[in-house]
Amino acid sequence: MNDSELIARALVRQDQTAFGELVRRHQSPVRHFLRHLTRGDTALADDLAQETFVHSWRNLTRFQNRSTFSTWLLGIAHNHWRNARRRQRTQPLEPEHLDTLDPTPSSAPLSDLRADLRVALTSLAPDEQTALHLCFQQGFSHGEIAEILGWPLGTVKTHLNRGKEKLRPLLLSWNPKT
Amino acid sequence: MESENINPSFPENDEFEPQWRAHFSAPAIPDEGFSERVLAALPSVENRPIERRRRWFCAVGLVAGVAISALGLIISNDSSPSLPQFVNGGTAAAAQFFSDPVMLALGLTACSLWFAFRDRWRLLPRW
Repeated sequence: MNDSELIARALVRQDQTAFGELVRRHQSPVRHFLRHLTRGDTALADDLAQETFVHSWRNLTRFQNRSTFSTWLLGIAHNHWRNARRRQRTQPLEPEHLDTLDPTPSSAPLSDLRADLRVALTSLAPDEQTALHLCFQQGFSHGEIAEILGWPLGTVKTHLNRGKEKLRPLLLSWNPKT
Repeated sequence: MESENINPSFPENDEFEPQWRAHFSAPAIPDEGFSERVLAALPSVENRPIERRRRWFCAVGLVAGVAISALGLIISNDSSPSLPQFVNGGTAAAAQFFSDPVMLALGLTACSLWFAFRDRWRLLPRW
């Protein structure tokens, strides 16, 4: 049964089991995204993820099939995170921009490279990190990212471009073919 | 946050794209009871805002239907000119139809039901 059918069941029959299946399918990307936004605060991320799903249950009738269910959910999650940040005055994301990464060539194996990339990612501007997270960790298209974050499409592309340009030396040094 | 649009023509896929995805991909987070906690936190169906609105629409439709039917009965029993006489041309037939209090009440009920449940009609299969 696909998402649309589960949503229809949840709406028409008020079927919480169908909604539970939707939660099981989408909990991982939502929690991943919120863990990213909260800088790894898993407890806060899971609280916000729970709020996201409860909100989506309450407002399921507002879901239009114009976007995918996961895009809609992540948009709600992003709004909840912004509200929580404003409400609780938690540590805001630092608007620090590190313009360059150390382009020192490395012969690191894949696992090390992955770890290096994770560290390098934290040195990017928050918006660049978020765009890269959604694009490469979650596999969303540029249009979907724009919808989730409420940014113009060009802004998404700009942040991805900048982030990739900063990280590119690391990949270039790792893979001599490119 | 919504910043400038510097390079909107940047290609969506470049030669690094597969590598980016391969290196950044993260394993799925195991559920570990999360779904059950969410389901336990869901408000009951009756308390969903849409359900409360439905009840209101149906109640208002019912009251309006009864009131207008009663009014129609009073008017039809009265010697004063009936409703269709005030309506010209194309709408006269409809006015004639709805001048029957029962039809008027049925029409109102149908309208309020349609409005209250309009979000569900789009979920019905298309023939």
